[in-house]
Amino acid sequence: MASFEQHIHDKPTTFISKYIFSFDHKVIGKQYLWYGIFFLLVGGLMALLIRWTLAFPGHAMPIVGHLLFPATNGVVPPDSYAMLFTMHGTIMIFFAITPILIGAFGNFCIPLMIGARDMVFPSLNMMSFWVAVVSGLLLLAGLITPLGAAAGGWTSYPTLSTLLGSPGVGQTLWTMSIFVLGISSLMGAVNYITTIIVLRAPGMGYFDMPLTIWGVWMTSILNAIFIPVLGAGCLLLIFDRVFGTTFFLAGATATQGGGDPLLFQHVFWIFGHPEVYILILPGWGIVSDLLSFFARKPAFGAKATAMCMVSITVLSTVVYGHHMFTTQMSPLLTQTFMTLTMTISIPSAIFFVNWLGTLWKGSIRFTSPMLFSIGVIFVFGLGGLTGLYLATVTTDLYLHDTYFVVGHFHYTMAASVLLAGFAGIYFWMPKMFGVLMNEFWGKVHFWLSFLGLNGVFMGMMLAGYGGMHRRLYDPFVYEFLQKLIPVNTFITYSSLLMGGAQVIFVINFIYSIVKNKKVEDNPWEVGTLEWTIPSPAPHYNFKEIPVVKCGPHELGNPALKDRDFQYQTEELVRG
Amino acid sequence: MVPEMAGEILVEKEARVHASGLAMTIVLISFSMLFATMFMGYFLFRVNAPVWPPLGMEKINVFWPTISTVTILISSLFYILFEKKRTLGHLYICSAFGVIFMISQLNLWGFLKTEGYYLSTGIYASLIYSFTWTHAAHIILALVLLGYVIFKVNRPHDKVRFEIIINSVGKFWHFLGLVWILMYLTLFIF
Repeated sequence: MASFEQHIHDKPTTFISKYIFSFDHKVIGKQYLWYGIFFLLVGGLMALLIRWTLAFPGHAMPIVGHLLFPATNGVVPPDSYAMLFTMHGTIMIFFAITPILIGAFGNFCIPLMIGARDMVFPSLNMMSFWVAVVSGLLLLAGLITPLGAAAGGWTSYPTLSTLLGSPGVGQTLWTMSIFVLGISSLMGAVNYITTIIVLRAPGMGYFDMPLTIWGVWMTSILNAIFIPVLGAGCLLLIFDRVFGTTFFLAGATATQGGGDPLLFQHVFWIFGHPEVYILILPGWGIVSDLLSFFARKPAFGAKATAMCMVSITVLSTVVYGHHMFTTQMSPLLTQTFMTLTMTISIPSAIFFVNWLGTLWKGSIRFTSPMLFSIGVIFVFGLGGLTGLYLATVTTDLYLHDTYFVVGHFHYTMAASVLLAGFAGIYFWMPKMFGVLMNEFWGKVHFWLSFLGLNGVFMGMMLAGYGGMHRRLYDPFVYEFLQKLIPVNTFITYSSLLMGGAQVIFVINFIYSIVKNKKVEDNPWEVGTLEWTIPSPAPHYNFKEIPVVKCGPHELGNPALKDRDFQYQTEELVRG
Repeated sequence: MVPEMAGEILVEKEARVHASGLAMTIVLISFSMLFATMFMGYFLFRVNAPVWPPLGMEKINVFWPTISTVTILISSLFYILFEKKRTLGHLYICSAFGVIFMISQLNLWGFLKTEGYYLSTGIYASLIYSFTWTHAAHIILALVLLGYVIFKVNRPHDKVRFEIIINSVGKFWHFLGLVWILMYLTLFIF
């Protein structure tokens, strides 16, 4: 596939064309970043409210509790508790991780790292963001409806999500919001895939792309294929809720009979399992690159890493049944899904070896992006390994729907994606805003978050192993769970530590933007294309379209004389 | 067509045709997943039901669906002719048959109502309505796009852009025809 040169757009002059309805992928990326950070704060606050309720049932959370729940004297009531965990999951997955990792880094990095002036369809890109805004408003609108927001869990299984389980408008708005967000994600995915295929700078083969781009690319392919599956599920759910069909109602609950609640679970997880890889693949890509950049040596087995991403992408589409082991599946099917799921550990293990191989004998620079990347190795390792117990049918039957599951998926989807996202923000800050964030406070932020999140999620796994089910309003009404009160208190204190650490990040982030102390063009001394241009990137990115002559990880080459890295635009130096 | 020329910078406009074709293909893969999911639901309901149609319902008369099938086939055919010969007449006939398709769908829904099949009367009727509504929503979008093509044909100042629009709308229109034929065979005939 050949690339082509886009013409240079005129510099936008008005405030609206520059910051609101901008066609510039960098501005859209930043818009996604602000959008994601806003929802991250909302979702984080919800998490703290959930944790408070679990550790101190019947006690009001200081300040926030009294503001939000004056009727019950600051205590979270049971129905609001269900809304909180539902909205926490939905917001974090669809409105925080997706916009930050895919929306912000995807938009910002793809053209810069492949040497293009913009996305191939800039106006589609802009529409994608504004459709996402509409979707976010729909979701938040649910909070102010009479019966409150959706409360059927982020999975919204029928019959909880049908009119029987949640009669309010909130659930309908939730479903519509997810459908609209799907349209936005699809627009983004089409743009990303096409851009990566047609706009790579001359000379850049697929294996010369940074692994970040590989991650975003695979994510977009999964998005384009599987978001519509959830879309169809949402459509039928809306039909059930609004027009009185009974696709997801069975037996006596459906007056005319014939529906099947399990159908939604199938549809949801056919989408849902690829979705967890949609969330983590960009993070993996970013981490694979950063480890190489800061270990000052080429990424170990970069091609294998890329091919592992591809094989994980393919495998992720055929394992969804492991979410449904307890739905009376045929044992033949459960074993098939178990085996297929276990197969994913092979590419994942190669991945890990490559990460460790990259670190091996590197001259590591412990900058804050690097700390966050190494953090990802640790938390994703833990998350991945605990996944084996959930993929195995025999252990899953015991662990299903316990806090062990919650701990597991938070390690994989929340902790590692969050850390990878922070790594990316610290790393690309110079290119995005032309400034560096404070290194010292970046490291403090890392260590506090890292301690906090391990306390939270490790604690959750312990609680789950002890038999505590998820989504319980007050687990301690059950006598056998009362011994878990100390663990839960510990988790809540850890979560407060983790939440508090984010204040450091927000202050550091905003302070460095406001202070606006300019940095040089290439403060991290790496050779990918985005570092060949000024910081912050000009609106046209590249004055001349670069010609790529070597791979993205040419660091620590002994033949190099005055510096230990070379730009992708330079001929590979041979000794 | 753009030839394979790795490492060479092509003229922007020429390559845009290629890029848009690729993007439209991805969009259609997405749309087909939407319909594939609905078909999956349909087959699950169908194989799990002891008899089909369930609940003592009668199979509905295939008159209007057959009319729809014929019109959408003719319409697609004329679009192909338009793509080949670039004659306005073919485009008008194609669009006219698109509108007739929509009318036949309205008649189908009217017929269903007179037979007492409403959206909420059991899974059989629900499936027919949700499939045809989802498909019709796409048809309406496609008709708007066909109108846009007609609008553009009369003002062909940007040849490349025009080429992109014709190709993309064509792919979408043929795709909807294909989906309809699958629906016709599975929902109405067998």
